[in-house]
Amino acid sequence: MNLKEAGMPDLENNNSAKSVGILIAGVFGLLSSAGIIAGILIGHNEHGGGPMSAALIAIIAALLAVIFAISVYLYRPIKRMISGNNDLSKRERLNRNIMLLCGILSVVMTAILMYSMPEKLTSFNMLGSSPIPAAAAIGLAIFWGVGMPITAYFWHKKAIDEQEAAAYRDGGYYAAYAYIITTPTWWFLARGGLVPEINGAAIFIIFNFIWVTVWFGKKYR
Amino acid sequence: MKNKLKVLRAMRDWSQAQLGEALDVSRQAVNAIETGKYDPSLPLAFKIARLFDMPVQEIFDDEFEGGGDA
Repeated sequence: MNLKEAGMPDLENNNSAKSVGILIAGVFGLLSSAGIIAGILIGHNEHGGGPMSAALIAIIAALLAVIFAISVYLYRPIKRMISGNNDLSKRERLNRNIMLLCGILSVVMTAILMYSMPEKLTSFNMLGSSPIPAAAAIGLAIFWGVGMPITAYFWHKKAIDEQEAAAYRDGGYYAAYAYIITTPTWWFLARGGLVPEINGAAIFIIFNFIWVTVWFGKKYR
Repeated sequence: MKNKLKVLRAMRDWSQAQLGEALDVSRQAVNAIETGKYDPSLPLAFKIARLFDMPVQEIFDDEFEGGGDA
């Protein structure tokens, strides 16, 4: 058989799972820090704006320092991921590229949503039900209703292997049970006046979070 | 399910990536099979057997101790 000599490291000697974990945690840290800064600035403006107190400036400076530190920390794994391009098989490279495309599309969709909202953006109302312009709504619906299924079909057919497909199915299984358990429980408690009404966006986020966590956990275990 | 994939791969001095390329699966899949965290499908098990020119049951062991007439 014709196997090319690539000198690629085996995964038991490799920290790819750790690298993915670091990347996910790092991106989460970056987004959280940026979100807190945005929240502080919005809150400050809502209270009349004007010069900021020294304490507020110190908090923002600390968060900017955190963003800088995370960026420096992430630089190496990202660089390694890019330079390690040749270590990946065609299928793995396609998989990675589709994931990157999905990430970019998510950013584009978030940007469209952010800039088309009539009221001030907060992390809570972005997934709310406030009206947006029809053009933005059509664009987002095409992204999600047409682009996503086509990408998913291509990803399932061409990019992933059976081990990842199994990990993905397991993720869906856990997420489905989370949905079945969470939604009626919340609904019962809401009807009893004990918690706020069911929030579809929150359910959607919980569902996806569990699915992705199990999928990645089983893929890189 | 236990298997001899890691030993067979080492005997041929192949990396996980090279074996993955030959089987059209990722390194993660090869690693998961070798460590017993994932049992391959029948088609993939037969593909592995063909690649190493061995019967499937010589590579994979379901640790079934029974026997007798079937």
